[in-house]
Amino acid sequence: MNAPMCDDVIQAVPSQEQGLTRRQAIAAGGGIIAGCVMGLGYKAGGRSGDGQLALRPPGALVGDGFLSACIRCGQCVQACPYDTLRLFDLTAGIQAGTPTFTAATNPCWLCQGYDSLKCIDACPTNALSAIDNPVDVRIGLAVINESSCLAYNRTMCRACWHACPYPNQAIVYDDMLRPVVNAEACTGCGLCEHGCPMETKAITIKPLTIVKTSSARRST
Amino acid sequence: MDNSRREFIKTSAMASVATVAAGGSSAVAEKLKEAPADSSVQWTKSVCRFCGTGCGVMIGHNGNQIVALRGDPGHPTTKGLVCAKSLFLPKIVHSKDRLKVPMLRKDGKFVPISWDDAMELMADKFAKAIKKHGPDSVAYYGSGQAMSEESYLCNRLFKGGIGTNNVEGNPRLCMASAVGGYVSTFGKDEPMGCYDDIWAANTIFLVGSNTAECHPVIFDQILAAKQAKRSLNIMVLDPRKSPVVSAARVHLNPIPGYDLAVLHSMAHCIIRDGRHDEEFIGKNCQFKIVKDGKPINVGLDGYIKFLEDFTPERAEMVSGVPAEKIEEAAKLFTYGPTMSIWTMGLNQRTRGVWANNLMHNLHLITGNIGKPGATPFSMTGQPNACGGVRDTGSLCHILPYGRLVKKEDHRKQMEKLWGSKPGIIKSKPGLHTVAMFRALGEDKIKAMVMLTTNPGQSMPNLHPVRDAIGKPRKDKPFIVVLDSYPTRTTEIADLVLPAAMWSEKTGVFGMSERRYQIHPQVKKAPGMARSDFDIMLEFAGRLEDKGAVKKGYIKGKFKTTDDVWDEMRLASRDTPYDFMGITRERLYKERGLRWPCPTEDHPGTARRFVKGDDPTLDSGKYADHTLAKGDVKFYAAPNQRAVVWLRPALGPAEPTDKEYPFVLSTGRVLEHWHTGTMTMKAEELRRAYPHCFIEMNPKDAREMNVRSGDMIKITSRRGEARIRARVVDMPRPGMVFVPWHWEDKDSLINFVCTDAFDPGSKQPEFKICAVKLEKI
Repeated sequence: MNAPMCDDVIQAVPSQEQGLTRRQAIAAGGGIIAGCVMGLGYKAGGRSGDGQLALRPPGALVGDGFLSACIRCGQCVQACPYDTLRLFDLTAGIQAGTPTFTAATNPCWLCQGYDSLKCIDACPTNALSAIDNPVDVRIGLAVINESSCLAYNRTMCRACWHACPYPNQAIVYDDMLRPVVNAEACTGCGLCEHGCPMETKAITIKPLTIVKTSSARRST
Repeated sequence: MDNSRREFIKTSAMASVATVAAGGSSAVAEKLKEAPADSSVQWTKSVCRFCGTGCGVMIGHNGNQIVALRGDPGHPTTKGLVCAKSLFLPKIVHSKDRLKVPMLRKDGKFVPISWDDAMELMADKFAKAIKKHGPDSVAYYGSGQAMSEESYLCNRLFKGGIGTNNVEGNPRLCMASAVGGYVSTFGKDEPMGCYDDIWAANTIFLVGSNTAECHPVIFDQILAAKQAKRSLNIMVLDPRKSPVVSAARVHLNPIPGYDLAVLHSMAHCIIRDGRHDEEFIGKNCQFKIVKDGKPINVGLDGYIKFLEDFTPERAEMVSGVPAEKIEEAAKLFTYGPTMSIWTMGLNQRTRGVWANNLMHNLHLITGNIGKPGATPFSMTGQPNACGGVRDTGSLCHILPYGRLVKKEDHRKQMEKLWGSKPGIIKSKPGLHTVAMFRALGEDKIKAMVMLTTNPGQSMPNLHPVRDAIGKPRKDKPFIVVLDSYPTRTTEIADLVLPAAMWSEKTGVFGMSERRYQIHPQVKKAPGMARSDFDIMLEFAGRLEDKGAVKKGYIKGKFKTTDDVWDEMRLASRDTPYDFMGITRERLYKERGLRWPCPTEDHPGTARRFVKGDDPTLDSGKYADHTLAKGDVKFYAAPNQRAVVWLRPALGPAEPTDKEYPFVLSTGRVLEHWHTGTMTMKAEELRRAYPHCFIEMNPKDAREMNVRSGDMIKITSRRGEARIRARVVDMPRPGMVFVPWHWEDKDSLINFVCTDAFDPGSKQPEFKICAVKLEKI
C-alpha cells in the first residue's frame, strides 16, 4: 500500500533543479535542462501513466477515461474556492495538465459553504461528471495505518473523526472509540488525512483503483 | 573520546550560529534538534499539564531540551495512557512564541523593561492603591493551572498580608457549583470516591460530561471496564449526542436547562418502586427544604410528598425526555454499585449547586456511597483546580483546607499560622469573579494581578470584561498579567511578565480524585522568564519594603516551593484534609498520594467517610470507634448526616424566545484545551481544527437551508460571532454547540455567552443562553 504517488516523484524535480549551481546551469543550457526534465517526466509518467495513483477532483471518470475526457483546460483549478486543485506539470508525461490534489497539505473541502461543487460546474467536458450532493463524492478511500495511528497505540486522539465532514457515517468508532473507516460512506475528501496530527499520516486517502483490488470492501 | 570532542565542537558551533541568528531561525532549530542524537536522554516522572485527570507521564529530556513525552506505565490510575494533547507538550513548551522579557505598555505600545523596573513598578502601583484606597482596591485572579504552592502563597499574601479577600481564580468558572454541591450536602468539599470506582461499578451515569473528549483517558478506562465486564451499564444525561453516547445503553437528552426535573423524576421512580435503601437513609441522611431563606427539616415523608409532582410523564413535558427512558434510567441507577461522573454540564449553570445536590440525592437515597464502585464524582477540567485552588482556599470566601472566612476561629487559626496581624483577615467574602471584573470596570479596583489564566478570552460576556481590563481611560486600573504566551489578556494588560511553565518549575498538582502529584523542573525557562512563584515572592518582599504588608511576613520565610509545601502541610493538620504524611520525598518517590494521609507511613485514602479507609474517623475530633469497618459516616455534615435537598426544578436564566430561538452551549474538543494558548502552538493539533465550528442539528440546518461550511452569524443579547457550520446529528434540535478554543475575534464565542451566575456558587452559565442564527 505504500506505493509512491506520482506527485511525490514529481515534487522531487524542482528541488533537484535548485541543486544545480549557477555555472552548471549556464553550462548545461536551457535545452538540456528541458530535456532532462522531460526525461524524468517520462519516467514518472510511465510509472503512473494510467493515472491510477493520482487523487482526482470529485466526479472524475475512473482511470483512462478521465485522461481522454480531460482537455487540460485548468478551469477546475481556477474554480476551486479552497485552492485545493493543481495541475500536473510537464514532467508528468501524459498526465501533464490534468488536475490533482495532495490531501495531506490541502484536501478537498467538498465546497463547504458553497451551493455546488465548483470544479464540476466549471468542467467543460464530462471528465468531471455531475454530483448533486457532496455525500456521493468518491475520490478515494481513507485507510488507517493501525501501527502508527495514535488511537490504536494507547493515546487518545480523534482528530480524523472530527475533521470528517460526515462523522458517525464515514468515520465511526469501534467499542474502544478508535476510528474505523466505513467504506460505504467515505468520500475520500482527505480532510481526515489533513487533520491527522502525525507527521507521517496515519490515515491516508488511497485512490479507488488501488483499494478496489485490495482487501477493502467497497460497493462502487 | 574523539567522538565526544567532535560532538562538542559540532554542538558549540551550532549554538553560536543559533545565538547569532536573532531568535533562531527554524532551520537552525531543526538542526539543533537533530544534533544531540546521543543516548543521554533522561526520563523524569511527572504529570500532564492539561485536564483534571492527572495522567502520569515520563518526560524525556536532554540538557535544556524536552525531547519526548510518554505515558507512565507505572501510574496507578492512568496506567501509561495519555491523549494527543499531552503527546505534543514538548513542542508546546519549546514554542517560539514564548514570552521572554517583561513588557510595559507605554502610549499604547509594549516596550521591554528590566525585571527590576517591572517589579518596582508593580509593587509601587499596588502599595499606592492600598495606601490611598484601602486593601480592597487591589485584587488577585489566579488559576487552577498554577501550582498549589503558588496559589497558596498568593492567597496568604492577599488575605493575611494585604488584608483583602479579593482573591479569586478561574475555578470559579469551572467548578464552584461542584464545591457548593459537596459542601451543602456533605459539609466538606471534594469527592469522596476515586478513579478505582470505575472498575468496581456496575452502572456509570455520565451527566453533562463529554468524558470521551474532555477526560479521554478516563473514558478509555470506562470502556475498558465495560469490555472486562459486559454487564456494566453506561447511562448518559446530555442534550448533545457527544461521543460518549455511542457506548451508552440509555441516553437522556433534555432540553438544555430542564434536567433538574429529570433527576427528581428518577428519584420519584426509585422511591415509588421501593428501590431506595431505607437503612442507609435512616442512618445517614436528613431531608431539608429552603423556605423563606431558612432550611427546614422535612423528613423522608416530606421528600416523598415533594417528589409526587415529578412523575416521569410530567418530567417529559418539562424536559422533553421520554418518560420510559426516565423509568429505565431510574431502574438502571439502582443496579449498583453506581458511579456518577459529571463536569461542566451541571456546574456551568445558574442552577449548578442545585443540580449537584440532586445528583447527591440519587446516591444518598439508594445508598450508593462509600462502597467500591458507588460514588457521586465531579471531575475537574483543570490540572490543579482541586489541589491548588479549592483545597488551598484561594477563592474569595474560603481559607485553606476547608476553612471559611466568615468563621472567626478559622480566621484566627490561619492568622496564627501565617504570623499575620491579628484581625487582618476580613470576615466578609471578597468579590467573586463576575463581580470582580464588574468592579474593575467601575474603577473600584485600582490594581490587579492575573496569573496563568486568560480572562480576556475565557470570561463570559466578554465585551464589558475586555473593556474593564484594557479600555484606555483616566486613572485606569493597573493590570499585571503573568503568562508564558501572548494571549487575548496580555494584549490588553499594562504590564506583562514572562512566566515559566510546566516542567520549568517544581510544584504540586492535585487532581480530581484528591491525588497530589509533583511535577519537577527539568529545564530552564526561556529568556528572562521566571516562575510565578518567584515573581510573587519578590512582589511580596517589595510590598513589605513599602509598608503595605507587615515586615517579615513572607520575605525570608520561603526560598523554594518546598518551604511553602511544608507550611501547607501544617495548615492541613487537624482538618479532614490532613496530608502531613505527604512529604516532598514521598511525592518524588511515589506516584502521587490521595489525602487524607496524616502520617508518613499512611498509604493515602481511596474513599472518604468510610470507616477503615478514612483516617479522619480513627483519630482526632471526628473519631468514632463504634463504627464497623466499611460503615459510612458523614462526619463533616450538620448532625453528621448528609442532606438530601428538596430543590425546585427551575429552568435557565435566559430561556429561548421568539427573537432568540436557539440554545447555545459551549464546550471542548479532544485535541485542544481551553483558550488554546498552549495546544494551538502545536502545528499538528492546530491543523486538526483549522477553524472554529458551530454544530447544528440536521433538522434545524434543513429548515434554515444551511450546509456544513456555511458561515453563520450567531447573535445573543450581548454580542455576536461568525462561525462556520458543521451539520451533524449531535446537538438536539433547537440547540447549537460551539467549542471556545480559537482566539480569532470573529469566532470568539464568549462574546455571546451570558454572565448570569448561580446565586449560590457564583458560577456563570456558560452552557445555556438564547441566540439567533443567521446564514451569511
